[in-house]
Amino acid sequence: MIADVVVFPGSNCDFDTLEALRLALPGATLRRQWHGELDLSRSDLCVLPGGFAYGDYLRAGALAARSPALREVRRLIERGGLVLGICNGFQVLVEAGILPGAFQTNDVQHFLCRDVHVRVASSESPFLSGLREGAVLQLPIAHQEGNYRVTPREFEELSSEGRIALQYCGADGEIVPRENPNGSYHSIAGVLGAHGRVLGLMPHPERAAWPEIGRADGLEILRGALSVVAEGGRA
Amino acid sequence: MPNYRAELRIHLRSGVLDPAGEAVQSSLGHLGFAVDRVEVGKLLTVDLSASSPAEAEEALRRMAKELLVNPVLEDYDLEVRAR
Repeated sequence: MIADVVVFPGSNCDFDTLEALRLALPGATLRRQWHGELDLSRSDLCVLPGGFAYGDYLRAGALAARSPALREVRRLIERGGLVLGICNGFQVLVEAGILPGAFQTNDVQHFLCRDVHVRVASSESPFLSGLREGAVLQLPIAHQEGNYRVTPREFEELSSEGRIALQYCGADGEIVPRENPNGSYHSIAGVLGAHGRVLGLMPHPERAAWPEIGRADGLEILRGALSVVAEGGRA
Repeated sequence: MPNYRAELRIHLRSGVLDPAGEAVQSSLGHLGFAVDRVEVGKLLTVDLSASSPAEAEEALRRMAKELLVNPVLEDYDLEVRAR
């Protein structure tokens, strides 16, 4: 298995992501690639990491989404590869139109950096295949523009297709407004692309990958990439 | 080709929550200024060459569509003048 982490100017979670992947995907070849020279022709998994690509100028993720690197990402998706967008990477996937919706500033009007609980709303994805629907994970968030917006109609479509991946919730899994940290529509914390092979999520699984620091729920999501290899690789 | 300066004023669509505007309104309130609403938008100034004002405007509208404006949340006004 080959897993690539893409680095844009301003990405800052790339090394953490590589280290977490090293733990989650034993034996995988891990590569850190500069977006300007991105080659995913042999890749099974591409991760767009967190950070502030291009300083989040114009809109979070907007400029990175127009990088030629996204052509490579689209090609990988077309041939059935896995793509994971974490936080700023999620924003890039949305700006690129690979995932639906848009991001607004958190409704609390400031940067949020804390642990949250998220409920697995769908396991229709390799990334979530090791988890049951309704499972509750504890993961950290760190973002200013995490207020995810879709239209009611898009929400209905996403729901009916099992593409709402994660929703913010309480420790008991209850999805209520007070457990929604940023005002996201229907507490959405992560969504899936068609076929579940693209996952965008605001929480940082790579920051919850070490039992030694008391947080390892993120490993489950990263490990999910292995399920595709176990099935015989790419489609 | 003649030179033009385009100003693209980007604002949030009506009904979209504007936390930055609310924060600025609140801070104005702390200073004793009572205002009904503040909206924080963006102004992009683009200098370009085009064969006519209409061509410059058309180019800007394509730029807006492909990058500069997020149609889910934002709307814009465009002004093109000779430079």
